[in-house]
Amino acid sequence: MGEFLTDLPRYPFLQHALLVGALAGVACGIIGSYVVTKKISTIAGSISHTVLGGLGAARYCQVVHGWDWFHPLYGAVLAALIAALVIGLVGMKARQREDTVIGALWAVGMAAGILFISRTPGYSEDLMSYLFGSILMVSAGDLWLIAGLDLFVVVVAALFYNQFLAVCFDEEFARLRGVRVEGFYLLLLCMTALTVVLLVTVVGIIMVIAIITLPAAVAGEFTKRLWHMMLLSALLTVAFTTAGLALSYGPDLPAGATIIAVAGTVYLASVVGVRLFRLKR
Amino acid sequence: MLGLLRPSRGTIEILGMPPAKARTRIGYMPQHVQLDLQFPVTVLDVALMGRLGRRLPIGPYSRADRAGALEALRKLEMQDLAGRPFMALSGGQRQRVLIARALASEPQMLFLDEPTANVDMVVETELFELLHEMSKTITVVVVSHDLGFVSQYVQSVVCVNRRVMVHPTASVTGEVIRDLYLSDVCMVRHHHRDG
Repeated sequence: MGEFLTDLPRYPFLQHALLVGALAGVACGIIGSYVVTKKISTIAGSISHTVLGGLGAARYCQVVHGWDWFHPLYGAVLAALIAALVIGLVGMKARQREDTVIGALWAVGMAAGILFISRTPGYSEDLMSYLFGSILMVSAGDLWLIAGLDLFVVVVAALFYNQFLAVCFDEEFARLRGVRVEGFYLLLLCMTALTVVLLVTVVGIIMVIAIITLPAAVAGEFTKRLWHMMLLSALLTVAFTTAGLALSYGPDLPAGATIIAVAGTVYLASVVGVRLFRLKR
Repeated sequence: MLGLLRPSRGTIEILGMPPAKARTRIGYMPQHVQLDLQFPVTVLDVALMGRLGRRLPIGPYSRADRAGALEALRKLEMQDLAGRPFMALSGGQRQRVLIARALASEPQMLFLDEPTANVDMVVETELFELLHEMSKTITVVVVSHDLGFVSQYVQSVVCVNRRVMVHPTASVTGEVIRDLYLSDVCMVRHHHRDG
């Protein structure tokens, strides 16, 4: 902990990591609240795993075909958006098949990523690090892309808050009030996809599902309006990423896993604490 | 009539428009409200959703929207609970909030599908008194299976059982009801004797 504080002003990579955690935390709080209340956490999980396919494909194109501009994160964004649209459209057209598609994309995305990585000559360990998070390896260039995605998610969520709320709460009524329910649902999934990409850099593909749901679930225990939940959830996520980074730095633990451990502990404590408090009264 | 289902034959016109267009002028309260009772919304948040069709599709609700939603809640005597979580209400109170939501859009017509399906007798009577009051200013359409009970409050009954029949209320007698349901209806007197 002390080491973290003394090293923070000296090393830009630590400052970047802190900043990424904070940026991702804001989007995560907002979108996580929608994911939890609309109960689409498996969709978020599935999108997250297709990201590996995007990362792998982009790296493959960079190395084998010389597309230098095709940064792995662009591939991640593309794969996540495609996965979101496919799941959303299938869910609307054939509701009972949604589950299958979520599972299929989950595994196929992963498989595509592994195949691309195996066919890419050279060193690709850093792609594998996306599985478990690589918050300490974020470059200044990545930071701009992350900030841009974050800004987009926050602005869209703020502008259409009422529509999203109505669509999540009561789809049929929203439709009768002239809200384009399908469009807003797809937009919500796309924003979830962008947030997932942000979070992949923080905690890694496998643990995204936890960081997107746990802070919102904790916030849900203590709030009664959606935007209060978002605010508290965003604050909690920033606190979790910061605490996770600080705790992991000294003993050289993996940052992503430490962040999730912190989030999980707080979630468990809040659920048990709230129940005990109610019993006592 | 709201354009959620397509008719297999014929056309539907409401207020001289196809239903999809007329929708925003109709307040609607569905029968099976499958709402997530853990959803973090307050009573006012729910009533405000009724204002969605009347505004720009972007940005926060205006002062007029809030006033309209609160006015609708006042009509249902729910304005004091505006800040309460929706999930903390009783079944009857929730039903009232949903009617307020339908009213908040300042509709020309109000459609209610089995508004008393999940509430007890007392609340049911209160609700019908209230709807009766409202029907003086706007058209109120209620779908109900409880004909005998409803008929005290309504001006005309449209019966749908393969064919459509319209009756003024005065003519809804035991005989008409029997024809409709193809079975006899027994009125059960339910007076409690005191002492």
